[in-house]
Formats: sequence, C-alpha cells, structure tokens
Amino acid sequence: MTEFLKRGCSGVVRSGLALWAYLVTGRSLFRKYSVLLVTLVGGALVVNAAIEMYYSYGESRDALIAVQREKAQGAAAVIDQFVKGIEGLVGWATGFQPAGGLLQELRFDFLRMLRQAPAITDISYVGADGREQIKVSRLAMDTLASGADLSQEPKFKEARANKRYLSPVYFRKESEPYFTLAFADRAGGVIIAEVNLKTLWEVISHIQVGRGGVAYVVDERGLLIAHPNYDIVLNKTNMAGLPGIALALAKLKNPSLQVPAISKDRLGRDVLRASAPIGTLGWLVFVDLPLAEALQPVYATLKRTAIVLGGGLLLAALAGIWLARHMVVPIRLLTASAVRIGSGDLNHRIEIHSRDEVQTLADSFNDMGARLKDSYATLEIASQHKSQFLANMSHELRTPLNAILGYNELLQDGLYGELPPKTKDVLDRVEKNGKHLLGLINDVLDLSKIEAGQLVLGIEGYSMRDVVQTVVSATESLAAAKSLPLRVEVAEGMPKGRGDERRITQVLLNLVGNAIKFTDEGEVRISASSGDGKFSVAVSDTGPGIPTSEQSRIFEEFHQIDSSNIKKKGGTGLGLAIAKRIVELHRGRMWVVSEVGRGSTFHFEVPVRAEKDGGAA
Amino acid sequence: MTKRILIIEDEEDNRAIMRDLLITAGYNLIEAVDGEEGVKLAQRERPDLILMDIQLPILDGYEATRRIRASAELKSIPIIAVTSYALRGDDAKARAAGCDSYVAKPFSPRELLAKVREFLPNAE
Repeated sequence: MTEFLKRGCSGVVRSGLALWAYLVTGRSLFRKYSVLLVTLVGGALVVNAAIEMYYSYGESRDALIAVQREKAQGAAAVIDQFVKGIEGLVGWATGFQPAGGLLQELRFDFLRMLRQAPAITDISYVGADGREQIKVSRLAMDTLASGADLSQEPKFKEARANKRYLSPVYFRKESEPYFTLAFADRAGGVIIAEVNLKTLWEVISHIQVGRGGVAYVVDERGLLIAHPNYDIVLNKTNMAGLPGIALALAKLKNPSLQVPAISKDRLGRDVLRASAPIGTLGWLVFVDLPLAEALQPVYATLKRTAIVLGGGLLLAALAGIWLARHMVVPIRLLTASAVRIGSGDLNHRIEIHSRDEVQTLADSFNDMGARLKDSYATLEIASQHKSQFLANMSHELRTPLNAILGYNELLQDGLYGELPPKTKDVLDRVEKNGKHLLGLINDVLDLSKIEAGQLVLGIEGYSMRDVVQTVVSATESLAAAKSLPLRVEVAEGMPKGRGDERRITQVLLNLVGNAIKFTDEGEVRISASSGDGKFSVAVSDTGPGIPTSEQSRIFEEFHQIDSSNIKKKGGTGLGLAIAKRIVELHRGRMWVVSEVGRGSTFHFEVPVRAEKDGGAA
Repeated sequence: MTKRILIIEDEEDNRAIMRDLLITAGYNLIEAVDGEEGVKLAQRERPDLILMDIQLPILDGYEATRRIRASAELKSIPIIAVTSYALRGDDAKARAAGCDSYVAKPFSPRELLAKVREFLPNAE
C-alpha cells in the first residue's frame, strides 16, 4: 500500500515538474512570467507553512504529553498517599501489640482501624507461632483464637523476614481486587490487613483525560488493578501484552529504557500515553489519550494554516498574473506596433507611458519609425526623380532616333534618288538596329515605370476576341515568313472584359512573337477561354522547349536561355518580365509549361473585370 | 487646288522629314514651331489637315487642339496627333482633346503618309 502511494506520489511530482517545465519554457512571455512569479511566491508560502506545521505539531504533542504526565503523577501521588496511609495505620498498630496478647484490647484497636480506613476489610493478628489469634472483619463475625495455622503463608513468612509484606493483587471471590499488607511486631507476631483496592477506582475515575482518554493502574505484573471501567478490572485483564505497557514496566527496573509517547491501547487504537510509578509499590499509573483527539488542536492548526496557505497561494497567483500582465502587456503592444511599422504604417506611434525601460524602448521604436518615414520620403522623392529622368531620357533618346529612322526610310524609299544595291543593304542594317534600339528604350521605360509603381492601368471595356485578333493580324506575316501555321482557338460567348486592352495586347503580342521567333517548324497555337471570372489565354509552340531549371528564370529581366539569342532573335530580354508584371498588375498570373524538345506553352490568366487598383471587381 | 497641310512641330529634323515626305507626295506645307503660332496659322491659312505634335513650347498640342476645336470655322479641320509620348493613354488623351487620329513617334514616314492619305486621298 505504501509502496503504491509512494509510486503515486512520485508520479504526481514528476508530472507536476514536467508541466512546470513546459509552462516555463513556453513561447509566451506572459505564461513564463506568471508561472515563475506564482512558483516563487507560492513556493515561499508553502515552505513557510510546512515549517510552521511541523513545529506546531511537535510543540503541541510535547505539551500534551507533559499535561498527561502531570495527570499521571498526580494520580500516582494520590494512590501513594492512600497506600501509605493504610501502611502507617497498620504499622502503628504493631507498636502497642503486647506479647502476651490482651486480645480484647487488640480487638478494639482493630475495630477503630476499620472505622478509620474504609479500604481495610479484614485485619487479623497472627502470633509468633503462626496461629491466628484474632480476626476482625467487616464481612464476618469477629473470631478470637481460631488457631488457624498461617505459618506457611507468604504473608506470615515474608513479613517476619522483612518486617513488612505487600502481597500481589488478588481477587476475592472473583470480584474485587485486594492486596494484603502484613507487618511483623517485635514479639514475632504479624498483623495482617486485607485492603480493598476498589478505592483506587474512585481515584482513577475522577481523573479527567480529555473526552475519550482514560487513566488506569497496573501492578508490577501488568495486571490491571484500577480502571474507570470496572468490568475490565474484574476480568483480571493483564496489560503486559501491550508493548508500550511492558516497556514502561521494564523501565521501572531499568530507567535508561526509552518508552515511545505514541503507542497502541487495549483496543488497538493509537494513543498518546504517559505513565508515573506509585511510590515503592512497583505499580504504574497510565494516562492514555486517543491520538486522534490529542492531535485535534494540531489538526485544527494545520487546517487553519492550510486555509491561510490556500488564500495566500490564490493571492500570489492573482498578483503573479497581474504582475506578469503588467510586464507583458507593453511588450505585446510593442510587438503589435513593431509589426504595424514593419508592414509599412510609418505614421504609427507607440503609446506607452510607463516611465521605465519599456517606455525608453517604445520611444526608440518611435524614433526609428520617424527616421524610417523620413528615409522613405527621401527614397520616394528619389524614385520619382528617377522615373521622371527615365521618362525624359526616353523622350530625348527617341527624338533623334525618330530623325534617324525617318531619314533612313526616306532614303530606302528612294525619295532622294535611286541608291546603289550595296547602300540599300546598309540602310536595312541601320533600320534593323535602330528599331532594336527603339524596342529597348520602350521596354526599359515600361519596366522602370512598373518597378517604380507608376505604371497605372487604363481600365476600359475590351473584348478578348478582339485582342487575339489584333495580335494575329500583327504577327501572321511573321509566321508566314517562317511557314508556320498560326492556329487560333477562341471560345464562343466570352464575356466583355474590363482591363487595360493595350497592355493585355502587348502581353499576348510578346508571347506570340516569342513563339514564332523560337519555333522553326511545327505550329503556334493561340487559345483563349473564360470561366471562374477570369480569362485564360495560352500560347503553345513546337519550339526547342525550356529546361525546368530555367522555367522560373525566364521571367527575370534580361534573361534568355542562350544570351547569344538576344542578338540572333532580336529580342530585348525584357518582354517576358514586362508581360508577367502587366498580368500581375491585373491581379492575374503567368506561368509556363515546357519540356525540352517538345515545345512550350505560356499561360496567363487575368480577371474578366479588373479594377483600377489592380484588383478584381 | 493643292491640299495644304499645317505641321506644328518644334523639332527641325522632324519638320524636315515631313517636308521631304509630304512635298514629294504633292502636298503644300505650312509650318509652325509652337502651339500658339500653330493656332494663329490655322486661323489665317485654313489648312486641309493639321499634323500636331503634342510636346510643344508655349502651348502644348492638347491645348492647341482644344482651341482649334473651339473655333466654329476651324473645328472641321482634321487633326492628326504626332507625339513621342508613345505611352498608354496618350492616344485617348489626344482624342479627348479633339484629335481625329494618332501617330506615335518615332513614326515611319510610310505609315504617316498612309495616315495622311486616309484624310486627304488626293494631293490635288
């Protein structure tokens, strides 16, 4: 049972510790702080209460034992007095005992003694020859010179040998306990008194030992001779079988023995026990108090302490939680504010006025926010300058290019007279490079506007079918030049869309242009359909395909699988990057499915109804 | 009578290209180098077509177009906007200001001529 309990207890302690460790190492500062504070304050309270309880228990127990010992000693003194009184009375009688024996005189003395000491029931005189000469009794007729031979009785022999004899307790007629007191006189005769020990019962009964406690007397053999419950005495109960009693009896002969204060009583209950010896009789007075009753005040104290402890723990928990919250709330506020500032709300300021380190931290955050705002404003102005610069530059670059390309075309068209064939070839090269330069300028301008967030979509109603048709018209001559069939699959009944038609056309034009550019044989297929509130457009080719590793990088600026292609194929390397960003400005997406050697399919989706801020309606 | 085209353009090179192109094609030309002069010439000369640059000194092409359109005698003259603002929205802005058509710079002389012939099929 105890083993089971022990194991249960250690299990509880172990899981408690594990829970504590979990709580303290958690991710929440509030939980950590509150658990730590509650543990510290609660721990101090528990230790305090435990020490208090331990000492209070010990002190109460010692005080109770002292009280019981005093009671036992008091009872022992009373009983001793009683026995000594009788002894004195009987001993006194030996003084005037005439050797020859004036029996009548002796009889009167004896009768007076019976009156003086009610506990004496019989008193007799035995001559030196061992013959009873007179006996006075409360129970029978007085007998004179009965001649009964008592010479072999211990009471006669022991008294003659030791002057005084005290018999063991005996029960007369199996009812009341008695003992015999015998004194030898100078003439060798012996006065024998039979003493009824019932008087002890009265003494013992008057000792109040708590509510359930009891005082009793045992003789040197352990025989019970007085007990408030007289029946037990009449049953000749021997108490020596109880270890506590046996030890106390042994202690009479060997005072160094230790008798434990807590022992078992006759009924097997735990009792607090004190004992006191009665004079020289070898008897012991015991005072037993049931442990449950004895410890009741201790338990009451423990209960009070436990209630106080519980209250203290509750207060500690509340205080701990309050304190932790007090510490953690500003930190949470800081976190939330930092997240807000981090997500771009640079005007946000943290309101903490705790006049401590947390406020300092909050102030630092606010300073940081202000500086970020300044830097951001500066950057924004710089970015605007950059965009303006790019727009201006594009104008300045295009104006001379306009003249170059214009004059070149006039020359090619023979406006200034017929040219030699060699010159015509040179002019073709001028035109080709000039147009490439123009494409680059346009793309760089587009991209920088997108990057600067300045490309605003012109949202208008448009027809995806018309967009596809425009792109097909613009590219079919290119496809025809390479003998590539251009297949178009446009779903019937597509809804009218809203978006930047020119930009969407630019996207599709770029995809179809690329497909034609990179495909030498096979076909190019354009498909468009709608569903789920969006247009899905795909451009497939039977070109060389794109390795998986390149598929995400082709949407980056100036990226082509083989950079030599830029020249060969005449692209700027910016088209796909611009196309993808335009689609994303419409809150759409663009991706590619491709396999080397099997061609590529570029897909894009845009909401049927795109809105000015780029979102879907 | 030979059709007359008013070119409002501040860049000498561009004017020279248009001049070479359009005179060779048989049209008569009147030239202005800023918006204000353009509007004045339009009122005085009553051309058959106006090629209007947008980025112009003094008065920009949009404003010049609006003034021409505001005049009862001039509002029927077709105006083709020619601009380096080859950007989204410019064509719409040009149309909103009252232009009939739009040619992006750098223009191809062939395309410009084709556009002019949409409005003036014959130079005579």
